[in-house]
Amino acid sequence: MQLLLYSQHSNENTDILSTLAESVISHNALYECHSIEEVGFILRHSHISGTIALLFVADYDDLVNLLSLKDIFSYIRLIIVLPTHNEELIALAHRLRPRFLTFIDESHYTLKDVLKKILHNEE
Amino acid sequence: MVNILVIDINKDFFAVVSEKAGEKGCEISYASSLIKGINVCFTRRFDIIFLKSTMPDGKALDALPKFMNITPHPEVIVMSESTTPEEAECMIKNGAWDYFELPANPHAIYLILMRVLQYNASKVPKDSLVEKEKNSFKGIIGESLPLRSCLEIVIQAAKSDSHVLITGETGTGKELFALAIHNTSNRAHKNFVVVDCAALPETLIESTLFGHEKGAFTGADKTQDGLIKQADGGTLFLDEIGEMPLAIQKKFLRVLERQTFLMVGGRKKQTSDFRIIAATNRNLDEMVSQKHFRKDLLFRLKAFVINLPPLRDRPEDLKPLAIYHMSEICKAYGIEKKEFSHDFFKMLPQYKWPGNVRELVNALERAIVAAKHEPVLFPQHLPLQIRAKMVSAHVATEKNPHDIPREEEERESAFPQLQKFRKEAIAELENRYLRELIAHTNGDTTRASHISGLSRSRLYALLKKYNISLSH
Repeated sequence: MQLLLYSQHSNENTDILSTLAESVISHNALYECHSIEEVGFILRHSHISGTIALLFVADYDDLVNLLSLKDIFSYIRLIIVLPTHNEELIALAHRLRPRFLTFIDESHYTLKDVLKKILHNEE
Repeated sequence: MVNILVIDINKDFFAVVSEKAGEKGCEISYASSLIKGINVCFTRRFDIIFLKSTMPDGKALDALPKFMNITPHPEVIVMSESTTPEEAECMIKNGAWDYFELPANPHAIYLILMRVLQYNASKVPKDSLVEKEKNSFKGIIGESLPLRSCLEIVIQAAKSDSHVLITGETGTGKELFALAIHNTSNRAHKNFVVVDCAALPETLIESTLFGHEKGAFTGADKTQDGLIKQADGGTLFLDEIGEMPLAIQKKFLRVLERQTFLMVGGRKKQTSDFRIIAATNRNLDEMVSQKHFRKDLLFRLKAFVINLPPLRDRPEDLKPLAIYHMSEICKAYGIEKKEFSHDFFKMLPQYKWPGNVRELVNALERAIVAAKHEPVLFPQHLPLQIRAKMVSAHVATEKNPHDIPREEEERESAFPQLQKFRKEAIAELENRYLRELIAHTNGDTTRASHISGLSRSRLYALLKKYNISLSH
């Protein structure tokens, strides 16, 4: 079991997500990456099955780029954190069929509970 | 060209039909007995059959299931000199397209012929529908009878707007089937929204589904739409619906009944036009009897039911599945596609694949990783625990005392052993029973399973064993 944490930029929010991720999975099983290429590289060089990806989307273009990995994402469980409540962005995010879709301004405890439950179900 | 067969003891009726149908460019054949008629149907395809109700070698009523078992089945019109209304009703129930009394004047025959020709022209074979939609069924791989039966329901469900319940063991591909329904439905241009009922903590599920108003609870800093609203115009896929808490089931049922809902902490009624596709690996009927699932909600979800077969019940799909997923995994890894050794495919059915397609995909992924730069996958590349079970099953098959050499078997066939004779007799009876059962239920496997007392997976296995089609 491994958790892949993607965010284009490092900032206060991503630091919180990173801390949150480390609280539910061991440091060794956590992969942080900051580009689509890195996400693709990690998924191509580790067992896809048994991977959960937590994608912190920066903006619309970032999500469009992530959609290029749609096929490989279909093998894993996705959690998406969106930056805004924009309808178009939400519709685009649903094309990746996430197991959970939330927003950066929502409670991070909620995200932690979901993550814990998905990890528990996968074990 | 429409092919017509007339099964009648004398040629008078055949002569009239020949004249009328010939004008329409149809090809007409004639069989003077029921046996000849049935036999010719297994060697040639007929679209329409005119069948005399009573023939010296049998009755139309008994022969109808045999014609209905042919895929695609012909339209059978029964003609009779004296039949009671009950018998006529029975003919229709057994699959006859129409029924008429003899003697019939040429004009009446012409009208019947025109009607059936018109119907035949408008008919689209189920198989061609499955073929047509195949591009929308991405990731659903296989040609087995159980799988094709499920795809036929997918097509029917996509045409309708009723709710769908998909059941099946873990890893059978329930989400892919849900997506296939969505993608081939009128809602395809709108959202396919996944609700993973197993992933959502009980405290969160209500606000996630219904949304919440600002200030509804601690941390609700702003008003937020729920997944029901996000699915407006599209499909709400309730995965693992068996995990949905009873309290939420009640609220959800109310949404389905009233087509409106309230956000958590909200007072204003919200609307959303969505279609539900629910999936579970649990026995919801059993959960209802244990009062863990609401009967009324289950009733609403069951407008269409798709029971996905476990992989062990469709072993012929292992090879195409392996080829497809190997290609997809290699593409994802950015490496060259690999070949398979002959042994690889031979060994796959030796394992029961309890985790179904998902387990097969995981095993393939591990095999590809294990093979590294080697261009061909061998069984040795599969995970050790799977290979060990495969080898053990393979050895057991090799040692099976029933695998006697062909020559010896042929010598014995002059007068078979009682055990063999009994086995063949049972097989013949099972075959007959199942064919009649499928004809009786018009291919409805739920009813057939209920009547026969067989589990659906066992029923499918037997249908496959005897090569019985669900088409009728």
